[in-house]
Amino acid sequence: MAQLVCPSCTFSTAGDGEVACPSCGSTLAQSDGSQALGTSGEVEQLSADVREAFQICDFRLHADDIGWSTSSGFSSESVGWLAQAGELVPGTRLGEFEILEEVGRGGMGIVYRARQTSLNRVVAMKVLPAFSHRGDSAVRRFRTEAKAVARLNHPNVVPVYAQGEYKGHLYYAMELIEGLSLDNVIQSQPELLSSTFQREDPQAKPLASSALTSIPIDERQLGAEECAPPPATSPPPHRTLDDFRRIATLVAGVADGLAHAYEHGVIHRDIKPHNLLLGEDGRLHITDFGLAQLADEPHLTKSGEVMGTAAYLSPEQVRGDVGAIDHRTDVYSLGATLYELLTLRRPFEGKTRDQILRGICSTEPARPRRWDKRVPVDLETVCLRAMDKDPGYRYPTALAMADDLRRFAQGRPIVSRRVGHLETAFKWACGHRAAALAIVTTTVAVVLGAGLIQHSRISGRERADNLLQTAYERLAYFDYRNPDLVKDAIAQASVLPADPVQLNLTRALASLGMADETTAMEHLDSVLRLDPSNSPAMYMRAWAQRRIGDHQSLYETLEKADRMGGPSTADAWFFRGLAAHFDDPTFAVECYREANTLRSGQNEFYPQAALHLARAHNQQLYVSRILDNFEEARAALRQLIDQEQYGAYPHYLLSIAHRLAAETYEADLDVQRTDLASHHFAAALGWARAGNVKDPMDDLPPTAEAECLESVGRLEEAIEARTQAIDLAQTPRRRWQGYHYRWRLYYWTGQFDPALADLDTCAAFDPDSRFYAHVYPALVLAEAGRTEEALFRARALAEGDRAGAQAVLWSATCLRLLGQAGEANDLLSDQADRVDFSGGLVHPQSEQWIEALYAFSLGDAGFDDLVKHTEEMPSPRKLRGEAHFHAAAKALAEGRREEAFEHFTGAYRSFDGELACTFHAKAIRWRMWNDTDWPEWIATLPLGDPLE
Amino acid sequence: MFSDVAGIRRSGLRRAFEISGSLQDECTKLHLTLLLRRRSEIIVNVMGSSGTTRISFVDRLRGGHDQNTWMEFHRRYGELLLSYARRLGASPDKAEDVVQDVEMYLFKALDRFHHFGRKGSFRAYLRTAVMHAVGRRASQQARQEALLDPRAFDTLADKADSEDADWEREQYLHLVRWGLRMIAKEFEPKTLEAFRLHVLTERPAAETAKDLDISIDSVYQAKSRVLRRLRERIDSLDWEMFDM
Repeated sequence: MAQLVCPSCTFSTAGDGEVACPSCGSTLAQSDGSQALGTSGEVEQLSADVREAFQICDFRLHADDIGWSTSSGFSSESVGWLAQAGELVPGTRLGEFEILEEVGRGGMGIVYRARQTSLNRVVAMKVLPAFSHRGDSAVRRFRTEAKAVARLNHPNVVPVYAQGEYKGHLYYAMELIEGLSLDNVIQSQPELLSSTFQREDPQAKPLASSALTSIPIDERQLGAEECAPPPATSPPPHRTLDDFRRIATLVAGVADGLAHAYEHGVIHRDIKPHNLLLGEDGRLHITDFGLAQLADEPHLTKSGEVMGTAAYLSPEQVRGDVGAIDHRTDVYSLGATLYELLTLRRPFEGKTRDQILRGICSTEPARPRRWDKRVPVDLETVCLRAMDKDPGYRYPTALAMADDLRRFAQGRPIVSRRVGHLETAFKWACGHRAAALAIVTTTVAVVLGAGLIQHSRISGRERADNLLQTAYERLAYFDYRNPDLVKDAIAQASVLPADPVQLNLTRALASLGMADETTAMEHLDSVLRLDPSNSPAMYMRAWAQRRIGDHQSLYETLEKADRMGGPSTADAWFFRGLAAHFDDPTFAVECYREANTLRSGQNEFYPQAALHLARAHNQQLYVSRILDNFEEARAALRQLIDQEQYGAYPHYLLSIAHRLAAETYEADLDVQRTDLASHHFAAALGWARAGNVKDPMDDLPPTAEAECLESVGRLEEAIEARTQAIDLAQTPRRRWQGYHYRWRLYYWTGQFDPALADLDTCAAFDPDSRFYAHVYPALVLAEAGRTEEALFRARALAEGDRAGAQAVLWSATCLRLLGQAGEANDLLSDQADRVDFSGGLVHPQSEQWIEALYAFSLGDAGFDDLVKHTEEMPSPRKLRGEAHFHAAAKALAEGRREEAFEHFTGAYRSFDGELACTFHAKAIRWRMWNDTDWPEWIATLPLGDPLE
Repeated sequence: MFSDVAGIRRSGLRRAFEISGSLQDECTKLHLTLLLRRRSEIIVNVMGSSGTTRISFVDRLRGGHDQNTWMEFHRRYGELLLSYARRLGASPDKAEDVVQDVEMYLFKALDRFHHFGRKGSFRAYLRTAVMHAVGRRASQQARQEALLDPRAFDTLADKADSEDADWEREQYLHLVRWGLRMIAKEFEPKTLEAFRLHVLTERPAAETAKDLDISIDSVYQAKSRVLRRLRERIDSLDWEMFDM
């Protein structure tokens, strides 16, 4: 007698020969006298362990190491078997359920059709595959799902019958809805949404529909090959008002279901078309409460965890703001679903998940009517209200949304829109002709009562208006960077019946003052929704987009705002200036000037515009070195200084202006007014020190002083001033800027260790910079005679950032600066085929530009060709700076020192801002200028790898 | 050995790739190359004193003078780390990043870590590293640097001795993986394939038999023989040995 084991179930017995398993009918196998594996239960356990162990990897991974030769007969078709582990084959029994077939898969599990033998009914069975691999939280979530849904009993919620576990698989059984999920409907059978397919709905009376025939809806009809093309390519169906009413009725049902769930403490949190089944009864059924969060078990949600499908996530879910997630999150997602039903496109589209998420948080969805003019205005209003970024502005409950949708479906006016009284009355009268007449008689009394209420509202409204006006003027005209002063006023106004336009405009400006662009955008979107032609809001939006770095949207917004009539008020001109400030300071100067002029028309000075005019002027002077607007800026700043406004900031700006003027005179070979230059240097130093007296705790005056001293070559003093500025700096960013300019001073004065220390500090601030960690230290180390370390830094640059063209390019240029022409060339040609040109682009770089730069660096193109490229690109000056810098390094490595110096000068003169080649070039050019032997290592080291 | 490292350093990226060509994952290769370069700075100083008696795997790692040791680390522990990271909720992509983080972390922190005398503490250390890295990866603003404070690590490694059923399970499953790979060469390819189809993919015995043109009994035999051998192998496997 041998031990016989059933391979399918866990039955085991003693016997001989071919024996059928009494429990499942499989042939029993001899257990081969297995002593180590006592019972069949252990066999199955170990089998399950093996399956689990190889869920993450292939067990042939280290075939070579363990002598498992590749000739073991495994074919490539076996690839993919891992993914199937944990699937249930038809016939598998789970308790009283028997698996019939798989019908679908979702993020949380596989859904099967199964038979419940006790009741002989077919159910849907959801099974979580391989839960043991997915950790406890998934299991808990799964149990929560069944528990939560089991409490619900609503025609729009799929009921749950049973739950349990089987061989490590958790499952639950629910009613099998014969139908299609809504995403399938939208994608391939949108005609099912039309009113002609409406069957029964107790809440909306049947509308003039000719064909109420039943059609078989079954998922099996929907083989992948039969799928219609995605909606983007199919023409929008011609829809009638009845179709839209049908959609409203469908969605109202879902909202009812959500309201019911909420009453039982269940929030779905993952409402999306995929989770809504269009049943044969013509209703939508909510399923997959897998992400449902029981209100009384909040710890189940990991903070910050983003679940669900990106497109339907609410802003609070995207932000990971767990505390803000409540039933209104479902309202949002249902709004997004409605949006898709109305337009057959998702509210936020993007190539990547990130783009979609950013859209959800920061941009307003395009109005549904933009895609399809037939979408009724009221339905659009319901949709957009449900999708408001601020939960406080959404429908307070799903029920309220359901009510509005039903009102629309029944041809009554919705409540959420501020419709005119006449229009309301008209709409209402259309629906209730008989009642309308009777109502007129009571109207007089109602009007009297309403008058009283109106009165108290107006006084509150006035108070709010006054508060907001003061707050707004303070921010817009005086100092937007100091919103603390108006915080209370805004808070008070927001509890009064304030004008939402003014309130949100003020909030937006205050948010921008606190550098919270995301919130500002939300407020601005609210303003523009109510008042699409609000010109300050439009320009403020452009400004916020500039601060976020979203140049594309910035230009679009500016263009749109200009098309709509341009700035209408002084503040709008001011914001327009701020939006243009960094890209086009000349234009910004004009805007500020215009703002000031308009304000003077009201006999008011516009101090903030004057301040920023001076700032823009300095920016312009820095870039163009043309002194046209110098006097205007100087006069504006003198006025601010006389009025004792903005502390030492005007002193700082004036000092910078003088220094730039001095540098301009000094550099201008045609004029060579060295006398004027020294006059301006003296003034620059004087104003910097006056600023320091004005506000000894401000780091800006010592910063200006350091720049001035650096400019005249008094480097040790400049270091002192920089150090003072660093000590005084109030924000990490300002401190970082101090270090950023100080390392260079140490480098020039031969103090290599402090220079390296400053660079380390900078690298901690900006760990992604390739300059702080690689290029600059390489220069300093080389100068300090630590050649190997310098080379290490240069080489590591190309390794750390795999396949990034810019990293390789800079690694090569850095190697060239260190004299390694051969290695640089090898590196460039080795990597040429595999680098990615699209990564890490900084405005105005483009992929084509990096490719051109790479080709030049590789020697495939000449410098003139490269410069020609820039002419077709935005900001050619900045790009030319970059071209010059790489050309300079190339010339230097190849021993053409004069040419290198010319190129460094060209790079220095590009004043390219973020691209920073001006900065790099200045650091090197100064060394070359002051030391005719520099760089000595090019002479002393052989070309090529020094270690070879 | 010294010449090896110097070789890598001299010849640049290309040759480093050739040397580490046996590794599966390109990322890891590059990553290790970078590590080794940094290491080489240290080795120049320590070479004179090392080279004592039989040293443990951890000590070999700590010596850092052999790129194969680091690759072996990846082979030995990579899947354990990956699998645990997945269990902690990391997505497949994230989990691979986590493994890299841990390796980078380990490389930098090993020198300053002194708790390896105790039994099992190396794995406890790994577990903590994975937990950390998963957390770091989860919160996007995390920087690797912040992860690399060896002092924080010391204390956490102590805590990591505490009970963790998931980790116990993962360690066991890791032994299952290794056990199966070790015994695999003892079986005929057909036996293994029958085992793979029937046990791992849960293909019914009859179909497996048909696919491989063998009898149903042979399928059951394959299952039972491989599993029995596996059980023996696992029982004789010892983490102490594994960590050597």
